[in-house]
Amino acid sequence: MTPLIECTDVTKKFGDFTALSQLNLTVPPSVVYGYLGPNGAGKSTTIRMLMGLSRPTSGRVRVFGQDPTEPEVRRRIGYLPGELRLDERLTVGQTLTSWGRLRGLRDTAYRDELVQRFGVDVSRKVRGLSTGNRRKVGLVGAFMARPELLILDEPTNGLDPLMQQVFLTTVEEARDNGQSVLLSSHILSEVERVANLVAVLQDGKLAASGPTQELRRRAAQRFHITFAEDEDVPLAALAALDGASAVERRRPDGQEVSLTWAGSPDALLTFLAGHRIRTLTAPEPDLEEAFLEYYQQGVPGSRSSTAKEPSPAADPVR
Amino acid sequence: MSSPSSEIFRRGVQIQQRTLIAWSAALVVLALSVVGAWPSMESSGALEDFSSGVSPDVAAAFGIDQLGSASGYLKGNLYAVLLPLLLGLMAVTATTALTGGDEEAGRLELLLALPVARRRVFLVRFLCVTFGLVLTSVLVWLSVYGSVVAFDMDVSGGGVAAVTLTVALLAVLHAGVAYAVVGFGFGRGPALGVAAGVLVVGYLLHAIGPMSDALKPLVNVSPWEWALGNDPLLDGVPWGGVALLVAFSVVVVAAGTYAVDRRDIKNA
Repeated sequence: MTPLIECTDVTKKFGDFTALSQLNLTVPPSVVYGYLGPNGAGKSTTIRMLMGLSRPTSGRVRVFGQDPTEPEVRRRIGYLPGELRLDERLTVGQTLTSWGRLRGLRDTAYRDELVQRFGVDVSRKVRGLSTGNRRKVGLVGAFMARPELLILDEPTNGLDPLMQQVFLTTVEEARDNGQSVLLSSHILSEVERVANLVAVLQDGKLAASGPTQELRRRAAQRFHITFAEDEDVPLAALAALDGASAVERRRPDGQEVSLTWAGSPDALLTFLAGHRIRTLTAPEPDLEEAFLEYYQQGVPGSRSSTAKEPSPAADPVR
Repeated sequence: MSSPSSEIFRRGVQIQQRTLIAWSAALVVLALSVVGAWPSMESSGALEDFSSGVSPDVAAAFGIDQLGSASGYLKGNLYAVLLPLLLGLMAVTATTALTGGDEEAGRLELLLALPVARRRVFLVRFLCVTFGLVLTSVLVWLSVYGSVVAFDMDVSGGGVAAVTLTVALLAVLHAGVAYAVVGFGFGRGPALGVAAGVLVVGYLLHAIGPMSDALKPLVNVSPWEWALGNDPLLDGVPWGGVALLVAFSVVVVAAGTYAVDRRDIKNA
């Protein structure tokens, strides 16, 4: 079966700046694919080539096995740009109608359902809309023709939490309907609920890719622990646990300890059960913590696991 | 015209609607006030004096060598400089706004990601500009022709139509120059600069070239010369000049379209 998206050794340069370097990416049919990376990693650069808006400096981009600069390929794709600029002079309704005409959309029932679902007011002028409301218009436009492939660049940017849920539900529906979705984001948790596969991009190179669950298991998680006042802080014992790294006191002689934990937290919780602790928090990992720093340290197992006392110069929060 | 093209066309016209109305109104008012002043000017005899102190070459350069006649008056005050210059500026600004301007603002991003060929989007937008120029030219032509009839001026209707045609084509040509510069990816600013530069240099060659031995050979390079060199108001449509204007426009638009299909669309 032809992959929906196939990038082969794709390099994109802007002058001296290399935005993407030798990228190889394959998106099989019928999946939700999370395309992750910090801002500036090259996600939008990739996506614009997938939409035929730009061309690779070298390498090959294929969508449905074809060159996406061919307009007919794009009939099968719904696109939401990362930088969504709508025409200010139109109303929301005119905008959607215009897109529909250009797509040759006949059946507008699903469009109207999406309008309802996202709470879009079609009578309003685009000019007065907030970023989040514009994004909703863009999403309706991308989904309304039920394209085989959806390419959504930072779709939840500016959406409130409720709308993020509506969005994720819509993505799940699309997937159940046999459509595929490429979802870019700089936040792991946004895509992990719906994505079967993820790829992590950093500085124009693929840092990691694979099934979401597997990457999630491999992903590192930061934990903050506050031990009870009279409890000795077992720094060395924590550092010795398999899975712990970057174990450090947040303040010299304080009771608060931070550590990075890879894999299932079972062993950590079992260990902590033998101590009296006041708080245990695990902030939502950002992408850099979860993958990028972790992968920079090399393959799992070769990580340094020595305990560190904070040096005066060290940033205590980090 | 198939459905996507007509949709792009409608949107393009809608986008430039306000500026189009403003330009058309301004140029119609200009034309009406120029022609409206004719009866009083003619009766006062002031026009003969106007160019009497000026050397014939210089008077010809500014198109005021025959101000005393009705056609000379129209030429000198409207068709020699003002109308072609303003219509040319309208063409250039409208083209850069609809193509390079919208591209750089990111407003073409979604349109070009739809199942429509990029060359079609750009060509239809050029067509929108041409439509605006034709509409404005027709309105100006109707205003002038109506006044000519009303004031019983000694100007042929065919002459007014001919000079309107060549002036409109001159504007389309400069729209084409701006379009080509955008097509090759130089962006809105350079397109505006280059096309306005061609407009002004073309005028200078056409107006001042005949007075300078050094510039004389270059006069025929000026599109202004193709459009106005043969005084279409008196002598009717200069078919050779029209052919040159059309051919040059087709070449630059084709080149710009070829180039735009092969480059990257700018990121907002």
